[in-house]
Amino acid sequence: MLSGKEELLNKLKEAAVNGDADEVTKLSKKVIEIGIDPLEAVEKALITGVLELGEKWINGEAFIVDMIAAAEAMKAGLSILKEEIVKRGGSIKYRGKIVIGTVEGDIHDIGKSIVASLLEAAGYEVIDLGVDVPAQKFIEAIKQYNPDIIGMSALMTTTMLKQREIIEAIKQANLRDKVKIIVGGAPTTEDWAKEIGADGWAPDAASAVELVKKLLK
Amino acid sequence: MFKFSREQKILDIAGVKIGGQPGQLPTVMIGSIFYHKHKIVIDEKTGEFNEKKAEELLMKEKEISEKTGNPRIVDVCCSWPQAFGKMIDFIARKVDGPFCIDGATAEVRIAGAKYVGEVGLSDRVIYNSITPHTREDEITAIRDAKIKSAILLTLNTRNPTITGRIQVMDELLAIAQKAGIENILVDVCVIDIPDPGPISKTIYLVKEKYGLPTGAGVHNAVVMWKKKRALTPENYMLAEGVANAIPIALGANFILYGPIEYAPTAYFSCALADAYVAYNARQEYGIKPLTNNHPLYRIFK
Repeated sequence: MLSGKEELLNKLKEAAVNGDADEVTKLSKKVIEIGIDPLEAVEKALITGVLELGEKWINGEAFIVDMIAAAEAMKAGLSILKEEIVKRGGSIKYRGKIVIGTVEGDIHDIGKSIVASLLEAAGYEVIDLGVDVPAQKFIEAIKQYNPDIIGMSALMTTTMLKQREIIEAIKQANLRDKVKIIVGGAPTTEDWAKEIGADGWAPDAASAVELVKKLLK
Repeated sequence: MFKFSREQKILDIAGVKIGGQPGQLPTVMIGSIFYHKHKIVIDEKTGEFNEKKAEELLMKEKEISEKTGNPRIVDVCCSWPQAFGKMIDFIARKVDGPFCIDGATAEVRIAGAKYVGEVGLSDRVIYNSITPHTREDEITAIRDAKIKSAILLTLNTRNPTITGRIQVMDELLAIAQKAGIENILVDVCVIDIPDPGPISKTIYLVKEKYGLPTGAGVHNAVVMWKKKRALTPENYMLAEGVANAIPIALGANFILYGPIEYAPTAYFSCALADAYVAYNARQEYGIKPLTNNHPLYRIFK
């Protein structure tokens, strides 16, 4: 028989997988109320749940809408549990910090958001700069957040050129040796990534997670 | 099948009629030309392309359109601002009636809007597309060019569900009004492989609530599938046919069927779906096609 704690964490995990942000919020509050370690709840319920969903997505058993809903639900839970973790003097041990964004001139959000969700689910701290992000904003983010990796998405041939410009701007700002840079998006290729001096390229969201793991080993 | 309880708008955009109750008008077919990596494009940046091959594709599509009775609207795609004028000029000369201008970025679309405004083609143009993210400068460009027709894309990146798509409709209508758009088409925005299901229901709900001509680019869903999992050519074509037919069964008025090269199979599947829907509408509701050119009277010959 499951203990009350296990049962609650299972329910929390299930709610995250189902993308039920309201239920995740309710259960995360309950975790705190009954004194369960919030860090354990993040790791055993939220992260594990979304990771499992990520696997299903890769296998064609879950879909974009499920991934987006689960990531939103996880965020709702994290916002509550993180506060308690900090109160207890702890912190979530992320595997690395990633700043991600779709480059200037490009408003494609979905691919980038899925990569962000999968990275979060894989235990990385993700700062999502959104879409239509100019070089200056990436530079400011490097200074502000000190990330391990910058990820740039571009969904069009015209906007992939911005990936080169942004890398050049990061070099000009003398920040290139402080971060690894990865690129992706439909028109990009491994050769393109090499040509513009990126550290890596991923053809899809799942590969992006593998790439990040490899680069931060 | 069904008919909508709300009165359905029928638009006449430069001679092409679109909208209405199921069975009234043939599905309008929107195929893309000069899209990214289109073989007939020699230089995407300058807009240089093989005119002979482009003309052949347009002629072939015209023949198919005349055969099935499904009107066509060519979607002129472009990735570079400086290339758009050349492509628009060519299509305006070679095609009768309306055409879409479909730029890869806001800058390209703005360049296209300015161009059609300058050369007096605005009445024939359908702006593809206005989204909830459309910027102020783009809205101004559409208004200044006096473009009166546009496709509104129900893109909801935080909630790409049936509900999420419907949620952005009012926002889109407000943007369209600001841009001076009078003829509104709604594209319910396919983003994932199994989307032809929920987007078909979205089409139904948008038409029931707003009465506007509505459709989708279901081809995108099949292409995504093909990229992820190998499909045999036969299954790929069957998938395209099924994906085209389902939205039509739920009331779609237009289908963005993908590359213009796909016209033969896309027109066939849509015309057949149109015929089935129209035959039902006639039996069940006494709704008759508004044109003798309807696929119902052509495809079974």
